[in-house]
Amino acid sequence: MDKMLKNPYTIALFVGPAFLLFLFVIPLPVIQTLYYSFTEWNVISDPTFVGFKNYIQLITRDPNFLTAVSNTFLFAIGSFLLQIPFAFFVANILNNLKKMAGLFRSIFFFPCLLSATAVSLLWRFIYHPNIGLLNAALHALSLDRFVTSWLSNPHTALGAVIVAVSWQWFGYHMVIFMTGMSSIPKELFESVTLEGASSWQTVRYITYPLVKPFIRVSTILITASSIKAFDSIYVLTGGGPNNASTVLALQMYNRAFRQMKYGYGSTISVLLMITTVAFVLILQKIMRSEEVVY
Amino acid sequence: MNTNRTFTSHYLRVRIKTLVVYAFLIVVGVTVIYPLLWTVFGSVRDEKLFALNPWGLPEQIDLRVYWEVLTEHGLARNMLNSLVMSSVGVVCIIVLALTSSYAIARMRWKLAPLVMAVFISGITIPVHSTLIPLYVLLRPLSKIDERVALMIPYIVFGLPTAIFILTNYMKSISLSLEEAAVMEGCSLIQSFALVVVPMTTPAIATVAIFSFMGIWNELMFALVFLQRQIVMTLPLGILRFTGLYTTQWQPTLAAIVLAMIPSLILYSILQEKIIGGMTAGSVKG
Repeated sequence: MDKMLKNPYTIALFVGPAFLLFLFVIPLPVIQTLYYSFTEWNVISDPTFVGFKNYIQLITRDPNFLTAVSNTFLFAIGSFLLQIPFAFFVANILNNLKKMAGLFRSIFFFPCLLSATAVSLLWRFIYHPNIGLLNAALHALSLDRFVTSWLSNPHTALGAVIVAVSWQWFGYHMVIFMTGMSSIPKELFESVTLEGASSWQTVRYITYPLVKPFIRVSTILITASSIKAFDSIYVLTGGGPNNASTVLALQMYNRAFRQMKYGYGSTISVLLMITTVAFVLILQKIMRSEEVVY
Repeated sequence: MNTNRTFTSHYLRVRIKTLVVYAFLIVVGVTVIYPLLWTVFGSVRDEKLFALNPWGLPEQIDLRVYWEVLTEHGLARNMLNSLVMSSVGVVCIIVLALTSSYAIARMRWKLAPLVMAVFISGITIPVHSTLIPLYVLLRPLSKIDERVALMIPYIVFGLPTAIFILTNYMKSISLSLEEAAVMEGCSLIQSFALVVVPMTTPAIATVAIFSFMGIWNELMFALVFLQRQIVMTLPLGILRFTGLYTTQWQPTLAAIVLAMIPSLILYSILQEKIIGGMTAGSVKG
C-alpha cells in the first residue's frame, strides 16, 4: 500500500490534468494581465509597451476610475452595514425560537440561490418610476415627496443596488451565523439565564464572542464579493446615470470590451486583483489578532 | 395574591414578546416573498391594469406569455444551454477534483502541500483578472464553439473550492477500508474508484450543488464569450428582454419567473443539502 501511494506515475495521472488546466486558466492569465497592463492594445494589432502610462492616466486623469474606487468601497461598507448586523439579529431570534425557526430560515435563505441577473431585473421593476412597487408604496403611505426614479437618480442609484443585493444575501449570512450559534451548548444559555443575565448580556458576552469566527468569515466574503461586484450593477444601473454608480469590475469590462482598450482594462484588472487580495489578507490578519486579544 | 399578580404580568410580558418576535419575522418574510410573488402576478396580469395598480392581485391568469417567451423569444434554448453547460461542468469538476484531492489527501509526495496551496490561491484571486487574456487565449476554440471555450474557465473556477471541500473530507475518512481493499488484491485506482469515491458521496453532493449554482448563475464571462443568441445561457437570455422592458413588461416578468423556477423546485426537494452546500466553502474555511 505504502509503495502504491508513492508511485509518481499514479500521482501525475491523478493530479496532473487538473493542475495543468488550473495553471493555464488562472496563474498564466494573471501574469499576462500584469504584462498587458503596461501596454496599449486593441487585440487586432500587437500590444505596444508603454510603461506606466496606463497607471498614471488611471490615477491622474480618469475621473470615472476615481468614482469607481469610491463606489466600490461604499458598496462594500453599505453591504456590510445592511447585512451583517441584521443577519446576526435575525439569526439570534431564530436560534431562540421554539416553533417555525426552520421555516423562516428556509424562506430567508432562498433568494441567494437565484441568479443575480434575475434578482436585479426583478428589482428594476420594484424601482420602476411608474409601475414599481416602491413608488406605489410611497404613494400609498402619502410619502410622495420621496418618490423618485431610483435607478436614474445619481444620488440614489448606488444605494438602490446595495439594498437589492442585501435583500438577496442577508439570509445567506444569517445561515452562517446560525451554524455558529447552533454549536454553542444549550446548557450554557440556560445556566446564564438562571444566573439572571438579561438577553442583551447573553448576546454580548456569550453569543457574540462565540459566533465571532463566523462573523469574520462573512465579513471577508462580503468584502471580497463587493470589491469584485459586477452582475447586480451591470443589470440594475449599468453604472449609470453618467457613471454615478460605476464600480471597478464594470470599468474594467467597459474599457476592455466596449472601448477595445485591452491594455487599459488590464490595468484596472490588476488594481482590482491587488485590492481584493490585500483586503482579504488584511481582514484575516486584523480579525485573527483580535481573537487572540479576546 | 401579590406573587400571583407578578406571575401573570410576567406571563403577559412573555406572550407580548413572542407576538412581537413573530410579527417581526412575518414582516421580514413578506419582504422576501412578496417581490417574488409580485413578479409571478405581473407576468399573468393585464398590462394596463398592472400599471394602474401595481400592488393588485391578478384579475386574469394569462399563461400564453410563458409559451411565447419560451418559443418565440427563444428562452427555452437558453435554458437548455445553461442546463447542458452546468451539468457537463459539474461532472468535469467532480472528476478532476476527486482525483486531485485523492492525490493530495492520500498519496505520499513532497510537493502535495505546495500544489494544494496553489489550488487554494484560486479562491482569493478574482476571476475578473483572467478575463481579458482568457478571451484572447481561447479565441481559436471560440470560433469552433463558444460554449466549449467558456466551459474551460467555468470548470477551473469550480476547482479550488471543490478540492478544498473534498480534500478535507477525504482526510477525515479512515484508511483501513482502502488498506483492506488493497490486501484483497485491488489496484490503487480500483480502490479509489470502488472504496474512496463511494465513501465521499456526501461531500461530492455538496460540491455538485456549489458548482452547479456557480455555472448556472454566471454572467460576466458569458457576456464576453457568448455573443450569438443561439449559444447564450439563461442569465444572458433574460437580459435580452431589457430591450422590451420599456414597452412590454409581461414577457420580461415571465422570463424572470422562468429563470427562478428551477432553483425553487430543487430547493423544495433538497433544501437542507443546498443550504449546507452553499455555505460549506465558507463555514469550514
